[in-house]
Amino acid sequence: MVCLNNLSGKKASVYSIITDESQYAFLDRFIMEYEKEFFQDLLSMMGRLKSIGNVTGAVSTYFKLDEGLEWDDQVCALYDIPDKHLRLYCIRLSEQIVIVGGGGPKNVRAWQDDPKLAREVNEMMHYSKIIRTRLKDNTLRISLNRLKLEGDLLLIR
Amino acid sequence: MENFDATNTNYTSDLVNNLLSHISPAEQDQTDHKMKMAAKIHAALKAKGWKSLDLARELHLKSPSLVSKWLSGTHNFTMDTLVDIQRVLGIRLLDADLAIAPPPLNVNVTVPVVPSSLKDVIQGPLYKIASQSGGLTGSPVNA
Repeated sequence: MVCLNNLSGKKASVYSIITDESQYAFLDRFIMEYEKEFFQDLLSMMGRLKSIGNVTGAVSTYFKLDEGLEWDDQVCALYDIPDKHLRLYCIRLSEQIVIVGGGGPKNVRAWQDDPKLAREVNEMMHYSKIIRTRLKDNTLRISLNRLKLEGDLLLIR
Repeated sequence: MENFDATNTNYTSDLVNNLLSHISPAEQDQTDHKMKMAAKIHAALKAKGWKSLDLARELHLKSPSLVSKWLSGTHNFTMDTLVDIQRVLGIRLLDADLAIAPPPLNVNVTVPVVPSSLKDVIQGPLYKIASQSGGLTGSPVNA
């Protein structure tokens, strides 16, 4: 996991995930995939993530919660602009820590009906499980000021 | 392409930077305010022990999903909506009260310098004031 410096601030830290398969963070891949078709939506998302990091924190209502299949997996989606439906899936650990993944356009009723979205949500559910296990066994910790993740940030797929 | 160092968990994305560079300070300010407004309404709901449904009912909204949109941080509120929300929640979202700050008060104080020839005449508090202005030397004469 990596902390995105350009979005994180005094109110929240915004993380993303880099895997061995790609040198790009999940958020970067999301941007590269959709910046041509959804440029304004991406601007809206980045502006809001910057607000989250620097002004308000990750208030729960900024996200569509309970997107994952487990009740406590904390997988959610940053609210999309009405009528555009570009979903960015995240793990909202707290009001101070958000881990941003990937996503895509949601033109179906449920993400399970779209293979691309299903892949993205399943990916976040997988990493959410690893993170929650690490937090339980203390190999991953939340800093005293609640803003950072400390310990073993290397998530093996 | 970013150079990724696996030992360093701080990451600066050029792609994110590029997008942020397209957001003017005024636009970011607008976003920040929408997000703050949503957070304030959400906090007020929590304080009242209300859910979105309760606010929707109080405002006679056809669909409670509109409240979810308000709270998402993406909504561009109308004045009327903010007036209604603040009334029902008992909070202040708008501040249009005309409060004209009074002009700064300029007071010119002239402290008389008492000539030393008069020091025997002026005693007590008057002498103290005069001596503080630097017009007198020596100790006061007791009354």
